[in-house]
Amino acid sequence: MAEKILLIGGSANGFGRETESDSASYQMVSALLKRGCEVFLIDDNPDSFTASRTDVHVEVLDLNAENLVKVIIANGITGIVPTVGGTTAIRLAFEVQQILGDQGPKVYGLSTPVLKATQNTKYLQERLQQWHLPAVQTRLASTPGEVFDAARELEFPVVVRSIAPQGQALRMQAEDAEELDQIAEDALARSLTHQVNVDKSIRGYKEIALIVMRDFRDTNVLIGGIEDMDPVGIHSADSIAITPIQTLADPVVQTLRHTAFKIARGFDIKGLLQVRFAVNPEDDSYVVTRLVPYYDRKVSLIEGATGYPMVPVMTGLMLGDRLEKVHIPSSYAEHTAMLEPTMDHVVMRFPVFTFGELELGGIETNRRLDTIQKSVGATIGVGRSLEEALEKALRAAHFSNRIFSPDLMGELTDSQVIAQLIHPQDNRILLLLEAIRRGYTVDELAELTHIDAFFFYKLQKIMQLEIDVQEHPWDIELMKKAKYYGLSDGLIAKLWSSVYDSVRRYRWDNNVLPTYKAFEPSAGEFQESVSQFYSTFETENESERLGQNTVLIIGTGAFRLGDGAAASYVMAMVSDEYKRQGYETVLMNNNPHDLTFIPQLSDKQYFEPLEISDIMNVVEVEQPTRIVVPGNRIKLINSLKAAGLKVDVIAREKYLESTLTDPKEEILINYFFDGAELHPIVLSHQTNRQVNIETAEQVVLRDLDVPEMPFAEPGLYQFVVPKMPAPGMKLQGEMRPMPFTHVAFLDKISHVDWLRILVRFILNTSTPDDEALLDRLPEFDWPYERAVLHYQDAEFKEHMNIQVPLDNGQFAMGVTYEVE
Amino acid sequence: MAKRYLILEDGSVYEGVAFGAPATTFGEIFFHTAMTGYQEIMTNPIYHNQIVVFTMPTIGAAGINHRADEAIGPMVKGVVVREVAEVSTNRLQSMSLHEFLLRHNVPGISQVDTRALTRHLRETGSQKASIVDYPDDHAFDQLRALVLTNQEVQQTSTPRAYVNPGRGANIVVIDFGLKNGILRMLNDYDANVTVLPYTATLEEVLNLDPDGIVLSSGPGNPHDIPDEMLTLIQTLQQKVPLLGIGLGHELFALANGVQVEPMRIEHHGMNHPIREQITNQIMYATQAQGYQIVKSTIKGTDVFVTHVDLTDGSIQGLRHRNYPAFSVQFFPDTAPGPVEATQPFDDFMDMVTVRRGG
Amino acid sequence: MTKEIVDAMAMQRALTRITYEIIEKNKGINNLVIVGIKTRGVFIGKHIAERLQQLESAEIPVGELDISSYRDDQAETIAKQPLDVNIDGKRVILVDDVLYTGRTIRAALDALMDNGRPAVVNLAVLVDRGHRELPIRADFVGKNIPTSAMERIQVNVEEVDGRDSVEIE
Repeated sequence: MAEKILLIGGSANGFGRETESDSASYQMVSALLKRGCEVFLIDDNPDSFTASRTDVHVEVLDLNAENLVKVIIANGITGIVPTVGGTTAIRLAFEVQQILGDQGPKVYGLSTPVLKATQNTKYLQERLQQWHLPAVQTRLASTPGEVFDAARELEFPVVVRSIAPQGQALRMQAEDAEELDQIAEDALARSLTHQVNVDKSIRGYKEIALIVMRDFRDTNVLIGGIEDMDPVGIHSADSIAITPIQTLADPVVQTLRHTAFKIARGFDIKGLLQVRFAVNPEDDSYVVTRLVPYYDRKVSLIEGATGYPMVPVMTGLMLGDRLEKVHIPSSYAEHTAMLEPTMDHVVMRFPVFTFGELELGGIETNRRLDTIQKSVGATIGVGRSLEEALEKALRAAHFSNRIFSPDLMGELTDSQVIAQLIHPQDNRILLLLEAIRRGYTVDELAELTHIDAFFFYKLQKIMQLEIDVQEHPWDIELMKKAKYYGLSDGLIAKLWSSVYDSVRRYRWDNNVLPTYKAFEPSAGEFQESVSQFYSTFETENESERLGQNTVLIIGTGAFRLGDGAAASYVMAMVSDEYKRQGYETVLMNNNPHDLTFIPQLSDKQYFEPLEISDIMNVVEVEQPTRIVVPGNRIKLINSLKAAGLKVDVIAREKYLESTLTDPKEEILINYFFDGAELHPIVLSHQTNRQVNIETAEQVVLRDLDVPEMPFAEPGLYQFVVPKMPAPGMKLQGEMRPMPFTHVAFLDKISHVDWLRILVRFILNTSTPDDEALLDRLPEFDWPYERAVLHYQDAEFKEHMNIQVPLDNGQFAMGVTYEVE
Repeated sequence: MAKRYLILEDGSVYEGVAFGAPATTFGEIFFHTAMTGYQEIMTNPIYHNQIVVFTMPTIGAAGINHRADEAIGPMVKGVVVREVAEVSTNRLQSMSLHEFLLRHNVPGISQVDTRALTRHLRETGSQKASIVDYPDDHAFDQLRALVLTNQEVQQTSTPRAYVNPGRGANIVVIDFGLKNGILRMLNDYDANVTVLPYTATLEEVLNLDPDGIVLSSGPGNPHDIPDEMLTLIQTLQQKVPLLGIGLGHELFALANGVQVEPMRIEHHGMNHPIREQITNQIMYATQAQGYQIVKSTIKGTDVFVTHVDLTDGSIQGLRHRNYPAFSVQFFPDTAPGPVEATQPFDDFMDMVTVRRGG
Repeated sequence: MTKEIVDAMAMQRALTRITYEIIEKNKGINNLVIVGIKTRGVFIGKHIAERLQQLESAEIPVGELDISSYRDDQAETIAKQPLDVNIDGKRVILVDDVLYTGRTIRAALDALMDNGRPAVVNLAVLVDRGHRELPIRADFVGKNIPTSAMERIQVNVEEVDGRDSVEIE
């Protein structure tokens, strides 16, 4: 009998939960189906791309243990997969195991102890001690005297944490006895049990993550390592991250690798394990800080950066394949799964913060970074030098963010600069550049920030290059150097007080052209057929034009506030449909976690920033028949059209006035526009908490006045009216592209892929079924009586310390839905 | 910064920027795919007279630390990289890569399209190369006229015996271009090590009453070693536990009637899956291999295969059927490289212990 | 208190080493038969046979020897179980988990002789803990572990105990 495997979804997106797990689930489903398994998915996230697959049984339910048990029993589930749904799935798998015990289904890939160790730091520390591996040293104390005993033993600085605290859990750091005197009593008093944990402080250590694969026969492979530029003390997701590891010598890396293997062995991992380390730069000693036994942003980064077939391999290993025999897609060389990836490029992950957007929305924020994640997304920059990777990641992250202007840095006072060096904020890379500009020495900066001096030399180099370029307009040697180290045409234009088009033409005239290099796991040693590329300015180009009839699809880039996951869903769906329509698809994006990078969805991928100049470079290589662009990229669309290219615009909502925070309701009439005619699909109600759809109410659409249509492109649109319209009444309101969040929701609750129909209309390849469906509207056989989309915003309070109500229509990153 | 050129025997030219010493250099070129351990690689005598291309694009950030030297100073004749860190920032390191190479008169060239170069070398195999100021006819003439020496071992082996004392087993290392990692490993077992030159005679070895023999790794072609050494190995393997590493492995094979041939595509890296035949387990180890065992010549001899590289099926380990003697092609000393590769040392010291009646 | 003194990895390595030594001593694997003493000796014997097979691509027969009826410390008579492999003229490797007083091995030798006439018998044990009461010596030893007579040595094998390890109590 076929295995029945249940994937636990990740529910709403949020801080630390972008689309990486959805992307992994999608690929895992393909691998499981290929092996003849029957696949179930439980998720209530309407943006789930995996849940839009028709070959999966999808259960739309609240993600809790009770529902999971129900689904397991009702469907005779034989195995559950907790590794592609983030922390939620790990916690639920553990709970389900507690409830069902031996009667329950198999948990794939993970042993009970590792599930426990992921949730319980103390248990992890005990296990590490048992294996003679270094964990964070900690002592229990219940009197000030004992606190001091602990500090004497562990040596300053120490961190004091109250056990069972009244109110918020705090970590208080003491650098010396005086500071400890001040906090010891307080910390004890805050504890309901009058106890504290005294930890040896690891602030200032380097944060390193290693990702390993293990099979049941104890074959261990290191897939990759990531070094955070920022030291311990800033949440790892908020740090600038680099792979491969740059500043550690071989013996240190080998020790960490061996430790990661020991842990994988100790916990009997089958598949993937990520181990996080903190390394003391003073003596190269280290501690294990965390285990992440599931697919997360770091794994996704390594998968992208190395080109290693991560999901097919982890799927095979979790089901009991040996690494030597695991099935990987035929595009890879035969031994690729067993080869430890080695890189000949540098990848930088740059966090994206949203303080700017929030401030524009009139919400006050504290921009300081700490141990709680503040970033909502990330971009990557890929290059053949650290400088190039950094420049590319930086412009990918901030091309549209005015608040990130370097000019603002000039206005800081010296004491503000010092304060921000010690207490970093979201814009610290610019601050570091500013500090270098003001003449701080590398050693001073390294001392103040605990960032390895290596990075400051690199920043210094970048800054000097910018100054040189600025001082020598149209100097071709400097231009070559600038391009070599990743400066964009746009930046050079700015430095030369020119425009990007002139710089670009000048570059062309002087034959300074990008070369594209492949992502592959052997650093050139073996021939691999590769579909992923990045640009650099060297001698050999490896990317040839894909074909005569290609579509270039421009992704939506980094997650920001609002519709990040939905936008990813929309572009993935669109991309897939172009492929189905017989085009060869080329994808361009800079968000390593994006759904559009799922290998099956396109024929070729470019990991590139999405500035106009970056896109034009790819256009020149690929000479696509059409270019698909999200509607908010107006400047890009105009430039492409001006260059005589065929642009297919996917209409995207622009920011509307923030009206939703009022306790009022808006009525939304949702249309499909085929380019000539508006077809009403559904009427919905929106408040700041939710979007509601009642099937019974839809009769009202039958005799509704047709509003004026200000847009020309086919697409999904939404007419916003203040109150319920009456038949025959003239509609007063505003037409806008349907927010992507609503598009994904509409797909899910109607069981129609509206975006696929849209693509067919764009291409003039609509089917009789498509037309019949539109002609019949608003008559529609709704599968549910009622559907509700819930905005999830609780995390803002926790992560950003924001107490005022937010406009969820604009800001909410996560949504869930329910159907009746 | 001065422009310099890397030129290859086949006429290829790669432009770059000078670092290290401003000298002109010649040597056989190869690429190494390890992402860490550049210092250990540059100082490994196996790379004596060669020019190394690192596929890792950023080299030098960890600086130079003399505890990581595999010999006194760099052994390579030139270093080719994409990006070099000009300064060392690591608190435990004593100088930068640039200073190190400058001090030892070894030129480097950076900002080379090392990926293009690697992809080229992957097709052509290793060849002669030179780092020069101008890629003119004169430079190519000189390069083509260069005759690679067959005296690599003579040039890297110790001229006279020395002792690296310890309180444990009495181990004799025959030096074919020994790297420090092997001594470091033997130190970990507190072995009393005597290092003998590659010209050692049977009598000289046996006079030391060894509990075990290590045939060290080293540069060059195993066929350049005089036949007396093969005879010596044939006798010694019957008397004491024996471990061959790298060149030592190739000599162990030759001594037992197995043939050795140059590889078209050499292995220089630490990421190949190597299967231990007896347990069917996969491990990873640093490889620096230009010659390989001819598989078809094993049949009928007294050795059998213990390790295989799964990327190309090349043989990575042999063992004698009748004596406690074995050899590995890869480096089991982790300098640089994976920790799990040290197993052969454990196995060897186990044999030594058994022989000593422990 | 129980303490693990040999972990799974070290146990695997010890078996690997024994296997190589068997090849060396027998100049190959011709005519070889492995006989494991029940219960754990059988599984250890099978692991050795697996390794020989990986190396030489030849199957080595593994017999299971039940010695309960031969032990001098058993009062009641137990029916003798015949050995399931032919050992006549073979080079037999007798395998047990722990070598202690030597009485088990003596019983095993009696049982072997009742089942045929091997050419040679060699003894392989995973652990030799000393305290011999009979003139018996193992040819292949995985690990010499000096113990007090008060201590208990437990060899765990995956197939029976769910893990590979040697513990001391």
